[in-house]
Amino acid sequence: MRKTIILVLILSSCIYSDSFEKNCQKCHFQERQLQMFMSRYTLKYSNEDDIKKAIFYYLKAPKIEDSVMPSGFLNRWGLKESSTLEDRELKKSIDDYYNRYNLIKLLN
Amino acid sequence: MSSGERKTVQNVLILYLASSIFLVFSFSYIYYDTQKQTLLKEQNQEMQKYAKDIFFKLQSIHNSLKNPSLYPRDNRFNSAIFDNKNNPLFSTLKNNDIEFDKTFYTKDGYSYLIYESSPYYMGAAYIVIEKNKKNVWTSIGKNIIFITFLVIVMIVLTSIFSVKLILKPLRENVKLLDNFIKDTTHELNTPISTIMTNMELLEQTALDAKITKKLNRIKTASMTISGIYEDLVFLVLNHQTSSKDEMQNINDIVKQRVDYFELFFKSKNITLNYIEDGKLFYNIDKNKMIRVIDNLISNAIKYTNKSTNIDIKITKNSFSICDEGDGMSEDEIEKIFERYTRFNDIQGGFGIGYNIIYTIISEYGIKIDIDSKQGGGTCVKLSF
Repeated sequence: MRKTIILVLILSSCIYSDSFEKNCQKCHFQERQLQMFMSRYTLKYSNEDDIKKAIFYYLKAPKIEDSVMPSGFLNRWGLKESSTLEDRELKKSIDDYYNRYNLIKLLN
Repeated sequence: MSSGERKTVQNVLILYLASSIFLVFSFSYIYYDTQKQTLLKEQNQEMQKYAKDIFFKLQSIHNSLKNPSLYPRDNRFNSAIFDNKNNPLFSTLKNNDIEFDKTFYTKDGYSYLIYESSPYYMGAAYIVIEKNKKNVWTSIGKNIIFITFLVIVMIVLTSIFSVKLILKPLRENVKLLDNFIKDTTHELNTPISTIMTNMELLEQTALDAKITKKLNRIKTASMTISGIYEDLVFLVLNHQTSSKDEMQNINDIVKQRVDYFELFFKSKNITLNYIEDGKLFYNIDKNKMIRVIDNLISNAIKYTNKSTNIDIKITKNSFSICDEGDGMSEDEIEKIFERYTRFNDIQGGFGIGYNIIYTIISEYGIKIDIDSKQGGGTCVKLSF
């Protein structure tokens, strides 16, 4: 009985775990850096849909001209490799990222 | 003030006041509109300044990414930020239904300013400022009402002064004419009495036909002068002759006066058709009734053409007299009761006959109807 409960908890935590946390935060663990990305996307695209689309297209096929980051950053870290995630999973990660870091959440 | 003067004064006053008040209201409206535009412009500038202030504060929050950050607020304004697809990002507005195709507008008692923000700090493509619309009327309305009232009072006072100034020479002329008639009347009294008395004496004497004809002409002329004299006396005494109202047999008075004018009818070869369709009695001063009948008959004789008919008809409640003269226009009929009104210089006279008639019939509540067409004769009917 005890084993069954533990198994259910583990499975449910896997099912409901944050996609962004699972797929992105292994590498992008610095809070400030994540905020910076969102800040740059927001400054350029303004609305939620365009921000999410821009991130999605960049992650699927990263190009220098599509990047919102300054050249210094790109020189240092180079272009990101294309994401191997399924589109659906990638979109969910981006949604999670937006929900966590969108700038309006800072305002009260 | 005579009715003619009153009418002129009324017309001038109405025209003057209407045009002046129209001007005052026009200026008030222009002043109000200018003030309104100025106030809105001031409000626009104030809101513009506040929008820029928000922009810089958003820039600061965006760059610091401090969590949490306080959205910029001000007691004087409500505001909101919208993304570039017009979705609200943060709002303290009372009404979020914003017209993004305008930069400044007023709606439901609020003024709205839409400030385009670029780059999109905190995602804000538009900063919208909302402020209670300045009530122009409460700001300047009292002043406008006070000034308008003051100007209208000034206009009324100046118009009264102007009317007095305009009427002064007119009144002086009328006074001069009245004085002239007064003096003339006084001087006419003795010679007219002498002529009439001597005419009556001569009538009793046997004279040959030629002299009788000449005497008749003199008599007609003397009677005309006598009639004018009576009218002038009535006028000069300002209608304050002693009245003795008694029940009068109007048929008898008319008959007497028709006899009196017999020579006049003959001199113009006028056929008199006299019809009595009932007895007319009325409580009136006899001399005044004679003045009315005399003036009506003498006018009919004066203005009818030679060798025509004059119809006189009496019923139990009316007297009417119709001639076959040149008639009058509607304008002339309207003015006929004004003193010194004459429409025909050939016939002469002072133009006081109908004024006397009107004065007397008004005193006794007798109604007058004048039916006249140019070229179609005139009918005057008195309804008792």
